[in-house]
Amino acid sequence: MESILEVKNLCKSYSNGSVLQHVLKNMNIQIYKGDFTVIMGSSGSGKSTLLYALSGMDKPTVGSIYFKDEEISGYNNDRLAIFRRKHCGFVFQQMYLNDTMNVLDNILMGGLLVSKDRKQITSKAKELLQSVGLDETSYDKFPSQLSGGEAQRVAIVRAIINSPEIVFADEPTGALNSTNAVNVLEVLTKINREGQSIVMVTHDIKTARRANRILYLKDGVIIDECNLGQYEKGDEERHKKLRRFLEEMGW
Amino acid sequence: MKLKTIILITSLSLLLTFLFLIKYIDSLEYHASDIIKVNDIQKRIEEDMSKNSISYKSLEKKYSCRFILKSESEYRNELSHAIQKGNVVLDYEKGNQLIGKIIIPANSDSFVQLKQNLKIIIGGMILFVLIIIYIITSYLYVRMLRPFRKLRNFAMNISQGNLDIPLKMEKENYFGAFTESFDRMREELKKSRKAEFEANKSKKELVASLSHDIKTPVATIKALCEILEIKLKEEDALTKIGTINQKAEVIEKLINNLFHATLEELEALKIEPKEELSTIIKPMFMDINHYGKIYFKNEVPGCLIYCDRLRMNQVIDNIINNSYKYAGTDIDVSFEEIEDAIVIKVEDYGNRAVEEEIPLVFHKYYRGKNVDGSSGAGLGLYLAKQFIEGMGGSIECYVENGFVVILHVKKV
Amino acid sequence: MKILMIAKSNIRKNKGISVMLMILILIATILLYTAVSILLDINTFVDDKNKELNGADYVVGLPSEYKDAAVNTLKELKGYQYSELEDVVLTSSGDIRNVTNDEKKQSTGYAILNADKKENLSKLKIIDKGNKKLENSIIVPYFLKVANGYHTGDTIEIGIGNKTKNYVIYGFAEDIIFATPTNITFYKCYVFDKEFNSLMSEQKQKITFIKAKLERGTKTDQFDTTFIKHFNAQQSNKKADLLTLDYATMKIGLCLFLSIIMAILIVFSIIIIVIVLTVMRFTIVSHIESNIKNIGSMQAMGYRPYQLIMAIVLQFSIISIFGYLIGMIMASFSSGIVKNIVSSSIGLEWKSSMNLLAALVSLVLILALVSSVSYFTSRKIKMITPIIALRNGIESHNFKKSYFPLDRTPVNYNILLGLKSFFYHTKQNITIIIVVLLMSFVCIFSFAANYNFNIDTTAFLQLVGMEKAQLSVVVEDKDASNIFADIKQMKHVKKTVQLYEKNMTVVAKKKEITTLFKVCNDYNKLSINTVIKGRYPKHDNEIAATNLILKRLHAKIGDVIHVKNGEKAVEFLVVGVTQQISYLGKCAMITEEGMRRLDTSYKPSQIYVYLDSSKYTKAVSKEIKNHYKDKNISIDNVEKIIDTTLAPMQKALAILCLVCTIITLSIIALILYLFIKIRLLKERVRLGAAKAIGYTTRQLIAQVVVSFCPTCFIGALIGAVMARFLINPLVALMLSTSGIVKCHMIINPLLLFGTFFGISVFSIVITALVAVRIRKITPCELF
Repeated sequence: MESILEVKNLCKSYSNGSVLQHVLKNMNIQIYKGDFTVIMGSSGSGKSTLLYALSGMDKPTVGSIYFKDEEISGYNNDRLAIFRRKHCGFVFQQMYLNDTMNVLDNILMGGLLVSKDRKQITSKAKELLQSVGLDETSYDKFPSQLSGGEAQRVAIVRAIINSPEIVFADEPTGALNSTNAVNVLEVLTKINREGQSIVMVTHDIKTARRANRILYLKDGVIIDECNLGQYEKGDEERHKKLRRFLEEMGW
Repeated sequence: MKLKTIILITSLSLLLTFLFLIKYIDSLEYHASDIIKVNDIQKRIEEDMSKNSISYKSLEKKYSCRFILKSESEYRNELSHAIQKGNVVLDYEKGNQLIGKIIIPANSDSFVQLKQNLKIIIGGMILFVLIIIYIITSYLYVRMLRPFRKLRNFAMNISQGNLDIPLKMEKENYFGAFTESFDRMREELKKSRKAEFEANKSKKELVASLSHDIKTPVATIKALCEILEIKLKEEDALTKIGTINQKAEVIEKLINNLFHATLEELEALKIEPKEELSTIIKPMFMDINHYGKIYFKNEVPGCLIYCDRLRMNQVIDNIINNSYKYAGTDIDVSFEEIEDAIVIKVEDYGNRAVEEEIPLVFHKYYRGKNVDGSSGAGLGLYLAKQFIEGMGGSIECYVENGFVVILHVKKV
Repeated sequence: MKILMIAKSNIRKNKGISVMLMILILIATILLYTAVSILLDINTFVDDKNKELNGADYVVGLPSEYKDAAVNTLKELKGYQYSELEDVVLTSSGDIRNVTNDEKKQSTGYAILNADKKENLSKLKIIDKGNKKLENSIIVPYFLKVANGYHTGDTIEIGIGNKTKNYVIYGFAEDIIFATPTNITFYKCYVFDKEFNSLMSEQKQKITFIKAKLERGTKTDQFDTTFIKHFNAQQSNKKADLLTLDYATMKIGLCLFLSIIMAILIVFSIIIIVIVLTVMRFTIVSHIESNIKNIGSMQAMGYRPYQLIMAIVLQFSIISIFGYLIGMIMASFSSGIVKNIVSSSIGLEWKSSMNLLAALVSLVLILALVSSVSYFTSRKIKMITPIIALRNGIESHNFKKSYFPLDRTPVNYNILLGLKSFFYHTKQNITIIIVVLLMSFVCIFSFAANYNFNIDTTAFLQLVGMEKAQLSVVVEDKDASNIFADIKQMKHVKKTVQLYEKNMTVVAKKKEITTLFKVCNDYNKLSINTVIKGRYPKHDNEIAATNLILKRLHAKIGDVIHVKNGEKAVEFLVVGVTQQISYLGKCAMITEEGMRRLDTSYKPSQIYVYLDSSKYTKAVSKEIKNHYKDKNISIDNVEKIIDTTLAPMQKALAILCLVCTIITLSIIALILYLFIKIRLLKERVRLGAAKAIGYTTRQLIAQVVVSFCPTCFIGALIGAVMARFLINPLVALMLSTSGIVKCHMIINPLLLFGTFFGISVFSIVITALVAVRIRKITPCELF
C-alpha cells in the first residue's frame, strides 16, 4: 500500500513551567493512502497533539514528518499554511464555521485559497453540498441557522473542497446528537469509499467502527494497532474484533 | 427601522424644510430701487457735467436715465408720470438752483428676480417632500407589504400539507422574526413527522441489540463462579493467610529499599534517568569544546532518550577530557540511530593508545601508561561506564586511528 | 454596595476600554480645566495687576506744546481724577535685536521713559533686577522675557530712527497698556537719567505722555471718545497728532487672543468628551449584547433592571472620576507650562492658582455627560426579561445580508473577506467613524489655523484689518504729495496707496461711536479686502463701515449716517459692510473727497508702498531716506511690524497645532488599538480556524487591515469635507463678538488631502501593527 504520510521519531514536548513534558515519544507511524485511520486512546494520551503534528498545524519538537516524499517538519508557519491549504482538510468538533458568512461563502473561503477559477470552484462547492445532502435553500443560510449536523456537513465540504490528499477529523461527532452523528459518519464513510484518506481522532467506539485501521495511543506511544480492512461494513466480526482489541488495550 | 423612527424623521425633515422656507422668505428684501446704484449714477453724472458740457442726450444714453428740465413744457406731466411708475426722481441742481429732474427707471429686475427665486425654492421644497414620501412608501412596501404577501403564499402551502417549501428570510424587517418563526414551525412540523417514524424503528432495533449484548458478561460470571466453588472451602483461613502474605511482602520491600539506598550512597552516585530529547546531547559537547577541536560529522537524530542530564554531561566530560589528556588531537563525533538506541562515536587520533590497555580502562583507579605525569585519579571512564549503564545504555572502546569510544544511549 | 461590586467587576472585565476612557477623560480634564480657569481668571488677573502697578486708565501721547491744553480738556471731563505728565522718547519706526541670543532684527516702535523719575501712576516695578547699573542699562517689557527668551544682562541692539545703540538689560517691567506688541507696536522701555537726556536731546519732536487716573467705574473707551471730541473741537485750527490709549480697550485686546485660544481648547476638550461618550455608548451596547444571558440570570436572581442600569452608570462614573482626579493632578503639575504660554501671550507675569470654580465646572460637565449618556444607553436593559435573555436575545436570529458573495464578486478573496468583516461590525464602524471624523476635523482645523497665521497671513490680516504692504512712509511736510508722487516713480515700486487714519465720530439715530476712519485714495489697490457686503466707497458721500458699527447704529446698506469731525457733521451713504478685529472692530472708510468734506485742510500724510518683491525693501527704504534727508519723514517696514505683532500668536498657535496633532494621532491609535484587540480576542477562534484551513498570518493581517481601513477612510474623508465647509463659519462664530461675520481662511486642498491621506496611512500602519498579534494565534487551540 502506498504511504501518504510517514512519521519518524516524532516527539512533541511542552514546557509546563520549568518541567518539560513529553506528550509524544519517538513515534513512528505510516498513514496509507485511501485508509480510514482512527486514532484512539484515553484522554490525555496525546491524540490531538498527534493529529495536529501529523497535519502540519504544529511543528514537532524533534523528529520528521514526510508527506509523500516531502519533509514538512522543517517548514515555517507560512509554508505550513500553504501546505495545509493544498493537501489537508480539517473537520473540527466545534465546526468553526465563520458566523459572519453564509454557507457558500464559508466553503469558498477555503476553496478560493487554491483555485483561482471562481466559477468552477463554486459549481464544485454546490455539487459537494448536494452530495452531502444539503440543497439549494441552505446556500444562503448563516451558520447560526443550521442544525449541528448540517453545520458539520458544511464543514466537511469545506474540508474537501480543495480535493486534499488527506482529511483530518477531530471528534467530528463529539458535539452532535446520535442521529446527526450517524449522518456525519455516513458522509465521512462515503467520501472514504470514494478514495479519500481520512485520519480521525475519537474516543467513541461507534465512530471508530467505521475505520479500517485503528491506532491505539497510550502515554504518547502507539502501543498497538488493529486492522479491520478485511471485514465488510456492518459485519458482526468487525465489531467483535474491535471490541476485543480495545479490551486488550485496557479501554 | 421602526415606524416610530420613520415618522419622527419625516416630520422632522418636513418641519425643518418649513422653517428654512420661512426663514428664507423672511430674509428676502425688496428694494424698488438700489439707492447705492442711484447715488453712483448721480455722482457720475455730476462729475461728467462738471468736466465739460456734454449734451443731455449723450448722458441719457450713457446712464439710461432721463432729464426733464423745468423749462420743458411737459415737465409736470412727465414728473407725475415717472412717480406713478415708481421711478427714482432726483433733483438736478446747478449752484443751488433747481434746473430740472433726473429720472432713473425703477429697478424692476429685483422683483422679477424675487419671483424667480421663490418659484425655484417652492418647487425644490415640493420635490424634496415628494422624494421623502416616495422613499417612505417604497420602504414600507418592501419591508411590510411584500413580506406579508409572501407569508400568505407560505401559509397556503402549509395548509396543503406541503412542508418542503421554505420561507425565504429577509434581513431585518418587521416580519423578520415573524417569518423566521413561521419557517421554524414548518421545519418543526417536518421534523416531528420524521421523528415519529424513526422512534418506531429504533425501538425495534434496541430490543434486538440488548438481547445480544447481555450474553457475554453473563458467561464470564458463570466461569468465575465455578472456579471459586472448587477452591474456596475454609473462607476465614484463606483471607487471613492472604493478609499475612501481603504484609510480609511489604516488609520485604521496605528492607530492600533501605538496603539499596545505603548501597547507592556508598558505591555509586544516584542516577535518575528521565525522558529527554536527544537534542540536549550536542550542547553538552559544545560546552567543553574549549579548544575548538571537536568536529561533528552529522547531526543528532531527533528522538526521545532515557538519560539523566547531569550524569550524561559527566559521561561526555570524562570522555572528552580523557581524549584531551591522552591524545590532544582533533576529536570527531558522529551519531547514528539504531533500533532502540542512539549510538555516539567519539574518536581521536592520538597514536599512543595501546591495544592491551583496552580491557582495563573501565576499571576503577586504572590510569594509562602514557599518562606522563598528568594528574587524575583514574576514575573518569569507570564512572562513565557506571553512569551510562545506570541509564540503560552501554559504553565500549577500541583502538583504530586513535582511541574510539562508542556510547549507546537508550531510546524511549 | 452590590451595585458597586457589579460596577467594579465590569471595570475589571473591560480593563482596556476603562483605561482608555480614563486617559481620554484625563486629557479632556486637563484641557478643560486649564482653559476654563484661565478664562475665569484673566479678567480679575489683569485688573489686579493694574491695581498693583497703579496703572493709568488713560494715556495720551502728544507733542509737548499741546500738553497744557490737553490737561485742561481732561480736567473738564467727567470721571477724571488726577494725572501725571512724563516726557517720553517716542518713535514708531525702530528695531530691536538681542545680540546675546543672536536674534533676527525685529521692527517695532519705542516709548522710552526715564527710569529715575519716580512715578505714582504706572509704577516701575523691576522683575529680575540686575546687579550692576550701567550707563547703558535698559529695562524692557516683560513680554520679551517670556516670549522671546531675553535675560537680564543680555546685550540688545536698539535702532531708533537712523541710529543704532547697544544696551544691556537691567530688568523687565510690566505694564498693561504696553503689555504686548499685539495691542500696540510700542515697546515701553526705561533708561536712566543720563542716557534719557541724551536721547531726548536727539528728538526733533518732543512728546509728552499724559497718564490719567479715572474714577472707578468710568468707561474708559467712552472717556476716550469724549476727550477726542472735545480736544479736536478746541484745536480745530491746528493739528495735533494724538496717541490715545485707554485701559478697557487695551485689556480686551490683551485678552482677546488668549480667549480665542482657550475657546479652541474648550472645544477640543469637548470633542474628546464626545469621543469618550461614543466609545462608552459602544461599550455599553456591546456589553449588554454579549452579556444578555448574564443580565437575564441576574434578573432571575432578583436584581431589578434599575439596579443593573445604576451599576453601569456607576461603572463609568467611577472611571470618569478617576480620570478627572488624575487629570487635575496633572493639570496642577503642568501649571509651569501654562504659566509660560499665558505669560508670553499677554506679556504679564501670570500667577496660576487653583481655581475651584473651574474645577467644579469641569467635574460637573464631565460627570453629567458621562452619567446621562450611560444612563440613556443602558436603559435598554429594561427591555430584557429573564426569559428573553435566556433564549439568547430579543430576536432569536440574525437576518443578515451576505455582502459581496464570494462566488459572484470578482475581487481578490482576501479583500472580500476583509470587507465582509467590515460590513458585519456596523456598530463598531460607526463609533470609529465618529472618532476619526472628529479627530481629522480637529487636525485640519489646527493645521489650517497654523497655516493662516504662520505661512499665508492674508486671511488673518483680513480679519484683523491690517494692510499688507512692504513700506509705510509718513511725511510731515507741505510738499507731501510731491514726495509721494516721486516715490511712486522709484525703481521696484509696484504701486503706492495713500492711507490716512483719524479718529472721528459716527452718529445715527442719536447714537455716537468713536471710530477709526481710514481714508484711502484708491481702495481697489489695497491688497487686503475687508469688505464682506457691498463695496468700498467710491464717491465723496459714500462710507463703508464695520458690521459692528452698523449693528450698533441699527443701520444697513443704503442708509444715511452722519460723521462728526469736531463740530462739523456731514451725511454719508452706507455702501459697504466691512469687518475687522483691530480697534475692537470699530472702523469706517471714506474717500479722500469725503474726508475733505469733513476737514477742508485734509492732506494725506502717509502712503503704503508696494514693491515688486520683499527683497527690495531695504534698498528702497534707504533710497527714500537718502533722497529726503532734510524732510520730516519716517519709514516703517510694514512686513516686519506684522511679524512682530503676530509673533506671540504664532508661537501659541504653533504649540496648539502640535498638541492637537499629537493628541489626535494618539487618540486614533488608542481607539484602533483597543478595537482591534477586542476584535482579535472575540475572533480568536475564527482566526484559528482560518489558519487551520491554510490562511497565512500575512493574509489574515491583510484581512483585518481591509476590514478596519474603510472606517478610517470614511471618517477621515467626512472629517476633511466637514472641515472644508465648517471651519470658516466656525471661526466667524467664535469671533462674532468682535463683529466678524465671514471668515476667509485658506483651507488648502492639499492640506485636506494630506490630512485625509495621513490619517488613512497612519490608521493602516496602526492596524497592521496591532494585527501582528494574529501571529500568536495558533490553529492548535481549536482542538
